[in-house]
Amino acid sequence: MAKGSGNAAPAPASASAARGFDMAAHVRRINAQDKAATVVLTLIVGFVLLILAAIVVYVLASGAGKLFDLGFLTGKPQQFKEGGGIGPQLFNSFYLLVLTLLISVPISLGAAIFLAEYAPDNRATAIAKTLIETLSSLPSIVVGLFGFLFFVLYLGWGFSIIAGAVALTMFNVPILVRVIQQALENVPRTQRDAALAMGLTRWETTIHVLLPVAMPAIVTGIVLSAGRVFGEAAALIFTAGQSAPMLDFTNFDLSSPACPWNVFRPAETLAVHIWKINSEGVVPDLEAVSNGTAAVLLVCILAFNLLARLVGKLLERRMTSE
Amino acid sequence: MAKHVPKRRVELVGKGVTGACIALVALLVVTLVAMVAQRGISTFAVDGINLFDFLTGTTWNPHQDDANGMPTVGALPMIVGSFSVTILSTLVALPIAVGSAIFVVEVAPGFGRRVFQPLIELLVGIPSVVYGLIGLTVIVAWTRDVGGMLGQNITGYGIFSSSIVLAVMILPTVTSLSIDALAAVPNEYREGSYALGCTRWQTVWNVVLRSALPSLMTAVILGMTRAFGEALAVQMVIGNAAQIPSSLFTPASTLTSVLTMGMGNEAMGTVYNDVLWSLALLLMAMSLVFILIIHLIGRKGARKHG
Amino acid sequence: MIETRDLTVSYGGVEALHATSLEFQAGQVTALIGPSGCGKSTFLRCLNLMNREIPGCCVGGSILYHGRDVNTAKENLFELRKSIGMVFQQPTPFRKSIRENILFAPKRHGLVAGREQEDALVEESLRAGALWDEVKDKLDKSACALSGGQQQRLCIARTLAMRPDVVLFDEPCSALDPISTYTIEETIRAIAERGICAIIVTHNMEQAARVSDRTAFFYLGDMVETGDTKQIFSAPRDARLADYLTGRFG
Repeated sequence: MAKGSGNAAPAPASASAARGFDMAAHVRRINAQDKAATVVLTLIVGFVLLILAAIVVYVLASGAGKLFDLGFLTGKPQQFKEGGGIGPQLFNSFYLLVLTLLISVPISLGAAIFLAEYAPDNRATAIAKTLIETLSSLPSIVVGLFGFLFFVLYLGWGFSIIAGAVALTMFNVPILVRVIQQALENVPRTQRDAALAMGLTRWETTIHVLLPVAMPAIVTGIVLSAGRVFGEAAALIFTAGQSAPMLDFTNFDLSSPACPWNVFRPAETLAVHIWKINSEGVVPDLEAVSNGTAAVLLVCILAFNLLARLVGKLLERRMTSE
Repeated sequence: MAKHVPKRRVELVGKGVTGACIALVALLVVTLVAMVAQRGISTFAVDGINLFDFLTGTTWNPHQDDANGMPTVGALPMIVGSFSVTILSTLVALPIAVGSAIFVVEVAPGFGRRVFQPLIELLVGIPSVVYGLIGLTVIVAWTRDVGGMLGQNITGYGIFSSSIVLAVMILPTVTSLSIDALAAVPNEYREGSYALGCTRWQTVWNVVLRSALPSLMTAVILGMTRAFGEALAVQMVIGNAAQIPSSLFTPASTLTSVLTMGMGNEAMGTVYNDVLWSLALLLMAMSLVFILIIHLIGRKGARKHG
Repeated sequence: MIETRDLTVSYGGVEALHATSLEFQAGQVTALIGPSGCGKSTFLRCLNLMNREIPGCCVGGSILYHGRDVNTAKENLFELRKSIGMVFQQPTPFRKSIRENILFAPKRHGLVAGREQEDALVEESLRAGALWDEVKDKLDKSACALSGGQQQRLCIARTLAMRPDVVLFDEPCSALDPISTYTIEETIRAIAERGICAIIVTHNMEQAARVSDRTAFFYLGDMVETGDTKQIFSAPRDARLADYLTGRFG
């Protein structure tokens, strides 16, 4: 902006007019420019907030009818007739989330502790870091295809919850590693030094001193990542599959496809359900079902977001006040 | 005293267990890249399809043989489709993202931290299928209606709708990374500029944006990576016609949409299936290129700052 | 008790401390003084091998502890740090109760077993750190609620709980008010009287004169002069020390 601003306007008579530069006009101009820029920026932010509000309101409003319909939330999905529910999908989504977190949290914790506390400053560490970063920017469909190739076909797990959970783990680990590593590195150095100077190992230092301090940030990160796992679909269509056998909660035969806890049964989730019914188009009340499912999905994500904030704040308060 | 474990062993176990975690993840990534590459390359190595024809062929019809008796598998329509939606969506999202980042960092930091950033994080969390569904029921319909009003007979599916959906999808990612980039500019720079009598806009334009440029570029490329790799939302609104798009409003397809549609239908080992894996390989290679670019930017930035 | 011979320290190839030989006696307080950046803290952090936690830091020469060289790769630094305690510049209480702060390391070194032993150790350590009377009714409250001076005394008590025979103090009072400083100086004297070898880094010359029996003066990575504290402050031999004492630099 400053370049070219000097001799642009033909200056009226003033003290600096001799040099071909009208200071007063220049100041007026840059001030007007500044005001205009602020107005434009404000409009942009308003626009973004409007989009956000529109999305949330639209999804919730168009799915509102189904959102509180117990028959829809627990019912059986239908293919060629109206009134299908999303009972199995809802359960599958949560079960898959829990399994994914059970696998990905310990692995991420270990990897993050290694990177933050042990990692020697050498080539191997640099390569490992690059690989994790690579994983974080690979498209989730590629991760899903790999899951299909390796877990579903090569290891012979078939379309199954466990294959889906492992694919989602690959998707989730890089996010978690970054959050946990950051949280550990944000703990003041003095805490680490004090524990090490007492002859404690890095392991004891990390587990008993650093992790408790870093816990609020870690928990917030885990819950936020849970929201993303919950809504992921591309990594699942070829791993956890696109069919949802009706579940029988009295069945505890772990090899039966109707047993909810059987990890080797195929399991369509809410997000996959939305995609599948829209791409197949054989459900007559397609719009109502997919809007309802989207609303349920969004409510869950909103809940995860609120929960993350709440839990983080609560933990923080408990730790500083006790 | 008796059950006390020697410290050295504790440390060795700790290092071993955590090291195993990271080794496991690293191994999985290597396996992923190797397996996808191996399947993708077999199209050319085993089935004998010409790599050059694959990359430049404009006709995608794997069930029909071409003049050489080979399946017609020109991937150019998908390549063009993928790049078009990526670039267009980035062009739409970029000014909005950087604009709101400037507002949040320079104009109203309190509002930004307490209100805007949490809301943006929420936007990141909305599942891509939900974006796809909104695109399908709102954007596609609007595009069709507006086209109809202008006397154009269009379906509403196509690159335009996909780009709008993708722009909204990558907006939060690019915005929150841009906020980080601007917030990382040291305050002394701003104070120096204000001390010279510059206005806020002059300071932002000449000082803040310039010194945050490498990080902003990283933000943009990460957004592009996300747009390029997004599968389901795009597949729902692009129309899925494997043809070189003649306009922004004709149905087209991307690498991801063809993969999503096709992979479930074809048996392993057929030429069609192999070709799909080649598309996956192309997708993966492109993501790796994006990562490489980010690394290069990072290294250049590091060198500049000593 | 502890002694260095030709100790050199370099960070990433740059030597921060040149061949330094010093000897420390049990039951004495030794003060390490000098302007900032002179290498006194670096020297102190060698004695319990804390410099090994800094990447790129290289320590040469030998450190004799009870006559045994500990600056070797196979030295068990966990055992070493158990008997050479350290107190830092900033108070570093863990986010645990006062009781847990004291017992944290002893438990993990297998020094205490059973509630009785633990209670005894907590009381003994807090008394030695001159903190018992102030906190005996709130041992299960968070250590972070204590004042800065109390936190620092808790850190001293926590260090003494492992029954070390050497305690290193790295500018322990620089973050504290004068009254807390006075209490901590008293505590350091009391520690030395129990036969422990106390080594204190300080940039405060009055403090060195008040608490120490012997003093060593560091300047630009060299140990310039060492001797009885009285002699150092009343009759410095080296011109640089004399200049420092009269306030010409530092």
